Amino acid sequence: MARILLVDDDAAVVARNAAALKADGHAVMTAATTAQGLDAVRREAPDLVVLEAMLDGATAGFDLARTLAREFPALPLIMLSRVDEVISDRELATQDRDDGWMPVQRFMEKPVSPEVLVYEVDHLLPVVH
Amino acid sequence: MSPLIVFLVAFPLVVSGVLLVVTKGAVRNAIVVAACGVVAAAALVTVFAFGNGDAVFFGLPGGLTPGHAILILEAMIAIFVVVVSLQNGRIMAPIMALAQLGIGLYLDLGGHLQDPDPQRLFWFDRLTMVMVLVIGIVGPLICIHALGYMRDYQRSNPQIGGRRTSFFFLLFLFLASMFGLVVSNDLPMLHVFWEITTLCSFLLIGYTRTKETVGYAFDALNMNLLGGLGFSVAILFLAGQPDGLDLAKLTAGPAAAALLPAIALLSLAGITKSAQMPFSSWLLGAMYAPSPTSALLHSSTMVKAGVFLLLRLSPAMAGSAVGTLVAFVGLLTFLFVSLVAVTEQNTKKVLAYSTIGSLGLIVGCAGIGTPELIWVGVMIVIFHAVAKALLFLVVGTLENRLYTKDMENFDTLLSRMPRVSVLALTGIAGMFIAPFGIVVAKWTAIRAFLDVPGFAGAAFLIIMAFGSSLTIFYWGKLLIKVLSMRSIEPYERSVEARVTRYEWFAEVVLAVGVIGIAAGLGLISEHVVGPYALTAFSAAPVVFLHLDPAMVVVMLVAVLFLPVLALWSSRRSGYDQADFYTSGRSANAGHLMGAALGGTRTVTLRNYYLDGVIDGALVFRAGTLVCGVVLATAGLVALVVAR
Repeated sequence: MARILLVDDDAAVVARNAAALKADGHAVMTAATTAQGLDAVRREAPDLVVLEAMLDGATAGFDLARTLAREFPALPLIMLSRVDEVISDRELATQDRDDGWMPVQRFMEKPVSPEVLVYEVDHLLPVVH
Repeated sequence: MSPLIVFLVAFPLVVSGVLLVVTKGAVRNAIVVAACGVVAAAALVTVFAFGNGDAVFFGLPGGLTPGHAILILEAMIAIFVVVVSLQNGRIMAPIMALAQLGIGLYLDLGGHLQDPDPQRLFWFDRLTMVMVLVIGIVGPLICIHALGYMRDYQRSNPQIGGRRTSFFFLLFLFLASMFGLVVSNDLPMLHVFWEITTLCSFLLIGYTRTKETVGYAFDALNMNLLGGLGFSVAILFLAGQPDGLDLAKLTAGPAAAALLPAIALLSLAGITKSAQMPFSSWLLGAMYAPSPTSALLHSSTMVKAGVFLLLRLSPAMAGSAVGTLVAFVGLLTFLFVSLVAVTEQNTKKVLAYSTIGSLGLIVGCAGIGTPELIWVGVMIVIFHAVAKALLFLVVGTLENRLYTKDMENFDTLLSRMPRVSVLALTGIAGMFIAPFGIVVAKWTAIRAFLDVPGFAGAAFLIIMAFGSSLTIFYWGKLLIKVLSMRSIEPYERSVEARVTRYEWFAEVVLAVGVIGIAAGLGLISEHVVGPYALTAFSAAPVVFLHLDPAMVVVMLVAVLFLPVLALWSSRRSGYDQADFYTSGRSANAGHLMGAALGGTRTVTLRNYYLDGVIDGALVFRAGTLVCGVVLATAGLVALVVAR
């Protein structure tokens, strides 16, 4: 059992993922904005964070991931995103890099089924602990 | 003739060198696409240039011989293995690599190696033709697919330090060495290409350089180097024999008793390369490599090098106890891995088991060695290469879109990704539904096993019947999963829209290929595989296949009907769907239910993986043990007969 923080402004997605993670035996916290997310990490020290790339009405999730990776280098991050809907080909090209374009362990475009998320979370946790 | 062959080997080599220095993605994409076109065209031109495929022998332009070049390459391989292994604290691989180098040094510098006939360095016949087409057409398609796949792979796994530069370098280096391998007639030359493919496989399996994948990479390296060492010892043994290192002369007919140990050692090399038990585990570890690697090296081509060598050796070992025992290794492997595959949930591993099983059938055919069975073996090589490459690429696409390889998550795929599903269906049908070649080949094999005298024939027949029924089970299971449907949310449609054009191109061409070669079955049999089987054994013409063309058309229409029906029904909307109902207290929204005496239980509605019925790991260990004993017996028998 681990403590997982979900940062996403889509309540339906959060509810679905939280239910699946709870059924898998984890404690789940949620946040809807980058400010809430950062605050929750500093206060609650979760074991893993699942965050959306599109936050605060823009791609602020990328900044949150960078901040978290800098402040908490040992904290595993999974990014779920729907940036493909808004991103231009030019921006996409900047993500086509071999040297780690984003400091997260896993990046997945939605929709991601809750079963897959649970698998990824369980897969990442023992690596850290 | 020879400039074409030199081009086939040299061109991918040059491209691989260029790709090593190109770091800009767009430039790399353009180079890979262009180079793939050239390789495919060169392969086609080569095949046409050799006409009807009667055996042709030739040398390098200007009568050059490889000379010490082979030794230099062997030394480079050995040094590389030693350095990489010691960096990772591994001992076995360097020992085997240095032992091979020692044999090479002894033979070359000690003057024990006869100069090969400069006009017989290369051998091109119908089997070479088949292999060149597989490498030259399926290979480039997989490379093109990899452009799209690797982009998404790196994007999804940003923490995997990317090495796409070396990835594409290795793919093209591999293509070059595969071409070299299948056209070589001189065994030391063939051996060097063989070892280069081993190194490519090793480096590609360890692509992510995590502790886990590095471990699997070394498993593959160790087992393949063991086979390579067997190959080296066979060369040492054959070097003293007149024309011993000329593969065509060595395999022109049944081998003299004195040569059987060498044949057994070469068979060992073939068995390790094609991941037969007891050496199957490396191929399962190899599934951790990016999917294009699995498609190219670990299903379509490199593992086929193993069965290619065994098919070449077939006339030499046919009728001997060594041949029969090798056949048992292959067919028992087929039976055991088919049983294990039923219990496996990871789709890539199911494909790996199925690959080992199909290769096992070919090994069985090569070991027994009758013209009919060689026909079967080559047919499976062709159909398996195309259908399995397609399936691995489709699973790669699914993995990048759905982030899972678990078969359980492929339920209702037809609703979520209809076009990819149709491609998957084509590949699956290619593996186990008539009139696709593998079914036809299996049917012919059953027919041919009836003619094998004594206990062996009956045993082969039983193994074939049980093994094939297991394959039907796991393919049928996957088919049902893909074909099931549900109503989907509009946002789920976007999943398929993100499949890259590189992936579409490669998969669609391969799917058309699966159907095309099924339609052309009669032609392939009549002009390529049939004549090859007859000339390999100097046998009188027989009719291998009597297929009524009208029947083939009817079967093809029936098979094509399936994807069309699938696409049509996936477009329909408004299905009523009902959730399952179980009486009891639901503990959550999923399948967890309150149990009678407290606690919770997961509700199991089906047992597709025969949990609690078959212990896959136990079956795998048993198979490894049994096949290990059979293989060791083959070695002993060869030694005894030789004395």
